[in-house]
Amino acid sequence: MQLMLDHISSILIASAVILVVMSTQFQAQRAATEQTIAYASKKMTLDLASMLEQELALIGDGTSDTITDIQTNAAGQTTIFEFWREDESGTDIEVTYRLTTSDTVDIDGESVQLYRLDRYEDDVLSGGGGERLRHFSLTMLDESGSVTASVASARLIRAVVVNAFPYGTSADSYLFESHWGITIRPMNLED
Amino acid sequence: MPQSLLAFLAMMIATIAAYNQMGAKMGTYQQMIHSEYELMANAVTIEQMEIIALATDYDDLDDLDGDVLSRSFTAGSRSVSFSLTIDVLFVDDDGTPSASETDQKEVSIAATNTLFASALVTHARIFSD
Repeated sequence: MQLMLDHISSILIASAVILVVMSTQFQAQRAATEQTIAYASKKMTLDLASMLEQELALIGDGTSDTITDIQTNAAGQTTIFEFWREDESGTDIEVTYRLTTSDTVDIDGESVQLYRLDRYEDDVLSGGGGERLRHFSLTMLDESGSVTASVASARLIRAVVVNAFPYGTSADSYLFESHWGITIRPMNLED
Repeated sequence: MPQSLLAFLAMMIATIAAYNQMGAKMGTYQQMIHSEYELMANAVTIEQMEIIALATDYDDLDDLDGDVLSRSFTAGSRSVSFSLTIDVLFVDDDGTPSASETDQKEVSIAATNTLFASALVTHARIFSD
């Protein structure tokens, strides 16, 4: 009887230790995966941010016109943003950012529409951002920082980007979006 | 008896390992969240600096010293609020704070959020007369 009890208790203890070790291992793996996904998403966001930051500063650079069209949807996202700038060879080009729907994901039990940002040069597709944008907006601000619809009074451009993580779901992840924003002062808006 | 002690030791080691791993995981999450807030705070701070650069005369920059503003990072219907504290001081040609009046002022804006004890980001820019 004593031997039997010894066996049972040792099996129970060994099972408990193995369970704790496996659970720890699983949690560590999951945390590492989440961190990798977060970095991947942040990199995508910052790549798009870098492109926007450099290009928005060039609005109206060497051209007679600046921002020619800006359209938003009901969610306050910029669906079309069109402006003139010079390319590297000094030729005037009209650049268009066009936000189009891409995928739908479930975030916090809510179905959320994601978007893709396409960039056109003179109506020819030329680059763009990722396909996991949850929010994208370019807003014109006047000298006092107030939102304005008038290009004539616009002095600043506020860019906001929210990128949903490319893998995983909100139910399984602690973080599932990366955020970025900046306000640019294109010098050529101040003529 | 020795077996019981060994079993207890094994349980204790496994528990400590699990506890340490959980602590590391929480630390990673906190770092990720801090990083997100930093980027949002960065956005509102840069915007405020640009507004100051656009709308404030050099002579009036002193009036902003000590101002505390509330600004939000807004993406659609979601918004995160930050408190911006503005400091203005005279600096010399090397950017070192000067007790006497110079022809350069450094405007610094520190962004804080109630979730974090210290400033998330601080931006400074030097304005010349």
